[in-house]
Amino acid sequence: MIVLGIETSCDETAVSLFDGNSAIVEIIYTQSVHSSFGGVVPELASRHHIKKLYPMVKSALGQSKITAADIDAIAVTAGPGLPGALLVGATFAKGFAYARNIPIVAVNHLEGHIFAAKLGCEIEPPFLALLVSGGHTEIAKIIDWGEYKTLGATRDDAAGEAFDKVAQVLGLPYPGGPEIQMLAEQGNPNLINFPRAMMKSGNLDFSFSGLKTAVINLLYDWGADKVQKNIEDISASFQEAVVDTLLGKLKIAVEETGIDTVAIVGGVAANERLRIKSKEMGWNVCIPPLKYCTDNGTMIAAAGYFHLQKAETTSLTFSTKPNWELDEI
Amino acid sequence: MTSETIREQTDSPEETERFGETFAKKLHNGMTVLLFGELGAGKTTLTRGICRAFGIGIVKSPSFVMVNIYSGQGIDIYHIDLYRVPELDAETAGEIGEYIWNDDAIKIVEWAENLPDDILSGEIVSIKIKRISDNEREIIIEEN
Repeated sequence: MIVLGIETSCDETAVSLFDGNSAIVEIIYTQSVHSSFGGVVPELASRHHIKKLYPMVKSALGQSKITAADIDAIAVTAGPGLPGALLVGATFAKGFAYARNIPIVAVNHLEGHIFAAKLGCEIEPPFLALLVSGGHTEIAKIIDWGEYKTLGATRDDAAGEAFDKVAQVLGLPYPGGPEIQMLAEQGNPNLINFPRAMMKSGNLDFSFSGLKTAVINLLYDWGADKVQKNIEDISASFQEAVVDTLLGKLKIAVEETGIDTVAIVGGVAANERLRIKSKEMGWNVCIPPLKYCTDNGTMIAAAGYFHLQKAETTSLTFSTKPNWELDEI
Repeated sequence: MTSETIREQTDSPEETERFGETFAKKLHNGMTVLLFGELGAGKTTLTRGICRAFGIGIVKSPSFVMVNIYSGQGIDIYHIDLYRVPELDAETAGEIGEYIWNDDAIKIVEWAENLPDDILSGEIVSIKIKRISDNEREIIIEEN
């Protein structure tokens, strides 16, 4: 069975031809146009998806020597994400499915990230997933494939959003994660004791807004020159606060559920410091390869493939859901 | 048309949130609240207070998805965030307009400076949040 996976929820246009185990061919296009705007510009994202998607599908077919007639089903991200961007992928997928008369699965983007763990590691439920990206920060219990319970989530900003906004405050380009990580390698993570919020809140929720404000306050207190001179130490200390908070909450989740197999997925899972420190926690840690941490089409195809096996297909009349939560699957 | 300016000072994020909760009494369906203030000023915090007054518990930054929709006690709130849209083109403006022009909800817009003037209609309240110190903020409200 060959599944075409399509992902256009944010600034990556991604397609994958998936055979049920692995990708036959996968193509990801990241929109660099956004860096000059300090963030993803939603309309630009939609326009680029429109321009890129069809040629990318054609190219994937060409590279794999698979014809459109060989595709058995199509899986597409229906949410959460930017409304316009989601619409491009969903509309293309519906057209394709209708023309070829093949089933379609509307995939939840967060479930896709959970399936990225299956692509990267030998992992079976039950396990815990820490899902961290520009738009999401949550801990979910994977009771079984297809059956999820959100245990905690951010109350304000996502961890990746904190990286992006702090990078902007520090005058660094977008996306902020790689920039801060690079500077942090040369810095002292213990120089500034930034807040680790809600560690004693008694729940598994996160808050990163206060950490962002703490960096802004430092900019006011120190002045721009001193901040620039110490930018490596500030980056390292900020990154350490994010990593400590994520792993601190995950530790509580491990203790409360008794489940010590954890998957760390989403764009922030690309962070080297998070990768290293998570492996020192004494858990069975699964972090997918970098290409499956950031948004990709293969994880969407893999989630779609799972639902197809259970005959869970979606009607062609489905609507995209920009605020679709994991527990609503 | 009458215009009224109110100035308030808050000494902590908690107080900014409480201020939002009190201020929410002035709001009703169809109104649009425009929020201005730099990163970390407290726009989302103030929004959280407004939403709490209507029984809405969870208010997250919509920077990534642009719009969060909350259903509260007898009222819907559209929480719009234009942080990522410094140059709003006609197409996206139209998409945002669909929310702004809806009279069956209260609309709150963060980074309202990125909103083209011609999109606005109906009753509008502008709120500017200015940083005084690490924790203190001046909140300036202009009602039209």
